[in-house]
Amino acid sequence: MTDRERFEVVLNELGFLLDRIGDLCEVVLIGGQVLAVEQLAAGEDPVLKVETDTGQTVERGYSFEPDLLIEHPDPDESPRWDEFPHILREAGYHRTQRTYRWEKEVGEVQVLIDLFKPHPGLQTATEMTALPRGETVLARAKTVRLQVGHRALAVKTPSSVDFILMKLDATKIRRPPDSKDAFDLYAYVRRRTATAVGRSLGAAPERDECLDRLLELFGTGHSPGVLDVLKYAPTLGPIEQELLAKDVVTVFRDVRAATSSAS
Amino acid sequence: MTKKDRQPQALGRQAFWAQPPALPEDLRLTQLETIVAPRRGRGGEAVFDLARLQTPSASVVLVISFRSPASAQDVLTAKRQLTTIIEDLRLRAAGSGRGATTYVPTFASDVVPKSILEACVREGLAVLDRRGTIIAHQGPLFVHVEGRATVDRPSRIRIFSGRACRVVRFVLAHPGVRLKPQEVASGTQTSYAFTHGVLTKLERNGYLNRPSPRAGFRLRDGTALLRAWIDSGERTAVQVTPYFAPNTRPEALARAVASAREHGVGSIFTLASALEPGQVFASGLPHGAYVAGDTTPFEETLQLQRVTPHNFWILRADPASESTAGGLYAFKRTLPHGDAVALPQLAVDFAISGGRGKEQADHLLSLFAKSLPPPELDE
Repeated sequence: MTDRERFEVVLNELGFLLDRIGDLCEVVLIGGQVLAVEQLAAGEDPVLKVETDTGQTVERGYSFEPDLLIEHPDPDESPRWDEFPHILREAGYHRTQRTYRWEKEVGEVQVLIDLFKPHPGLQTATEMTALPRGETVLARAKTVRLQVGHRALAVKTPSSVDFILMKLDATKIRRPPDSKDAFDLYAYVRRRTATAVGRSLGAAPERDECLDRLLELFGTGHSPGVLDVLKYAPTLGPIEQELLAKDVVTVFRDVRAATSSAS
Repeated sequence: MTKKDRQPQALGRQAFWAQPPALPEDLRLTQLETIVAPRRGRGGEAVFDLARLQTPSASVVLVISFRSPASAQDVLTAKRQLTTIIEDLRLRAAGSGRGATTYVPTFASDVVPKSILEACVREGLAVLDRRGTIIAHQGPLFVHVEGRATVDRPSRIRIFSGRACRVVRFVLAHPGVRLKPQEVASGTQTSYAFTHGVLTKLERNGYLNRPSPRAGFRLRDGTALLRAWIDSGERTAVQVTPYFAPNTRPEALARAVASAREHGVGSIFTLASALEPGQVFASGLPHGAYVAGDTTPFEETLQLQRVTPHNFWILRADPASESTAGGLYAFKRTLPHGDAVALPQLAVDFAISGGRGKEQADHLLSLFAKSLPPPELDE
């Protein structure tokens, strides 16, 4: 089974689950799988090949575990909030030792889903991790439509600004630190283009916060985000690593330029 | 054993004075001053301590040279240096008109073995160690106390590299089994003494236990041991050659192994090529194989090219790991397309592969933890 086939099994299960959740609450796919879904929706391989202008290619993988941000239901519907864990169980999932994670075996694929809630104070019927800025992510989410086998899937994903903000937040709060967030930011901008991302940031209220943090992470060849990206390319030689580092810095400099011209 | 117990005991000269050895009630040892003397060679200086030893009948000043770990050669060197230092102290004392002080040349260490202790007595040196040993047969003194306190001696063994790692692999491959050191030594083709050293170090760190010193060792905390191996950053591969492989499907991998075998080249899969379908956690992971010999069969069969993206790695194992005795080939798993390294080795290889390898390694660690047998209960 290839990675793509495996991912399609996961997405098929996700579609099945979303159908069952129905109108109980909104669900937004967050995290590293967003890019893979967008790739698939564009008819491309979900593993993104990030290529620099000088020809170095680094593959960007993703975990097979969807991260789902669950919206707080309408107060009129709140008694139904208790249904959520039952829906998961009826769909064949069971809770793992990490209580925010649910698991289901589908053939040889283990489908794991991690649940997030939009703010820490929210009482939920099953354990969920609080996501900073979760309410905004829900409010600005957009729908991506794709065909997975025979299933037409409509998945909500974060806006460009929210994807970048979530990844920037993750670089600060994730313990232990992980290089994947910086690499995901680079891969995201490379895929969406610096101009498009810059335009989105330029129109967002969080514009200055984003730009400051991006500069901190990717300002020079020795900035922490650039070093994190290089951890994704341990097999490149020193010159190729240097070229990759330069590309990362250039891409984010272009984002800043595009943001300035958009605002 | 609690996590706190696993903290290694502080050793060395500074730790010696921070927590001096427990001596009998009527003996008192007080550090007075430190002398730093220039000397030739590495470091360019030697450090000595002056300490007053008071007994019910006498008071002397010990001039102490601290060496750890101690060797017989150290005793002779220390004696020469202490003679010079004491001579200098006497000359200075005579010049200042102070009364005569009895200086006793003293050799100190964390643990002074019996043979070193005898060498010190023979050479006229007093002896101190952290077990509570104090032996001084000089001048007006006759003190002879052989300490029995337990001191964790520092071990220079790097347990996650070279031959020591063969012992680690062996232990991780036999959870729930009481292992005699001789059995492990035979299984890993290492000496009894070396194996025992590694096993006791693992025991001190809380990974193994045994109900009594004569009983065999049993894996107590396999998850922590594998986590420590992953966190050590020690690499089994001494060389990694990255390639782009246009096809990494199992059929292609099987053809590469068959071709290597035909040419008499040993190989074993690792990284994504060694994952069973149910173990996959992330995508975009590199495939790979340890190859012992000519890599041409792999390069030709898989049409490997030295271009990016690097999705197939050929790894050269360090010689100590390229073995069927506790090495990579000892605890292999059989997959449809060929042999693959054991789960702990696979987790370690992923952890140092960069990218999403760390997440996959963590997932394998959790699978390994689930596979461990329940703990052995006391009768």
